[in-house]
Amino acid sequence: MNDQPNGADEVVMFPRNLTQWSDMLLRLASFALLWFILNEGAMDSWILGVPVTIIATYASLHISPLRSWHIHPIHLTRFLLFFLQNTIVSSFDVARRVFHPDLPIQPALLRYKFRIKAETPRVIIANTTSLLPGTLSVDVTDDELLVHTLDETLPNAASLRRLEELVAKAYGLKLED
Amino acid sequence: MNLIDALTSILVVAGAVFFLAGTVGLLRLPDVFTRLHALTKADNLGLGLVVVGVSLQMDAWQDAFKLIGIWFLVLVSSATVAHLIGRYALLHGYKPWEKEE
Repeated sequence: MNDQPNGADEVVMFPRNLTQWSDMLLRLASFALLWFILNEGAMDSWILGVPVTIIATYASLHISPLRSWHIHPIHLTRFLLFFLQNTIVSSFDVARRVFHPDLPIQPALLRYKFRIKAETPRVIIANTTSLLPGTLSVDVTDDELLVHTLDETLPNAASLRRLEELVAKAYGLKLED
Repeated sequence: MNLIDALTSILVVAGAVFFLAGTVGLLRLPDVFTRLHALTKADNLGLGLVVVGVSLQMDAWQDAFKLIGIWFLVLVSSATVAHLIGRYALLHGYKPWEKEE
């Protein structure tokens, strides 16, 4: 699986530059936080926690290599807010439709052409699509996302374009048209 | 009953309404694809509301984060499972239901 926009997918076991160091430290901090939360802050749990955190960080390098690009915190936050807002909207939307006596739905399939090339952002887009109002990702082909829409009269393609733009920005990727 | 308890009750009941919506959708909607819409979306917000409501009752913030972690994992797995079921259905020749004009 080619995970990085620049094409390198070898497993780097030691950080080589500042971006990779920050990725490594971020992973270490995340696993440490997870350990802290799971053990409810018990200090003596760190006897096991420190080695486990380090092992988990190294294990994660095999699943997902160190980044060689920047994640933009502001754009990432913007994406998360977009996501949160849309999860809420989509739940209200689907609840309204199923409780409505007439069951107002008009399903259709929609093909959406990816502009993003990298694998990980595409997976994020496909998964997020299913939580947006009225869209459900059903298949991913080479450069297309097959989406089932609950109501084809909604601007579904426009929402997907907006989602793709936000993910691209969070990853610091340029979209070509 | 103090304010926190009242807030918890409201959030958990609101969460239950969305779980109900998911189940009503499962029963009323015509095919596998539309049912997936109802289940993934309504249940996610339902669980989210229950998680926020129950978090307010926790003594330590770590416990609240643990609950949010559970919500996040359910979110990721339900989106992934919905995709896999939808894909399987499509590859095995299930035609999406269409409205008759």
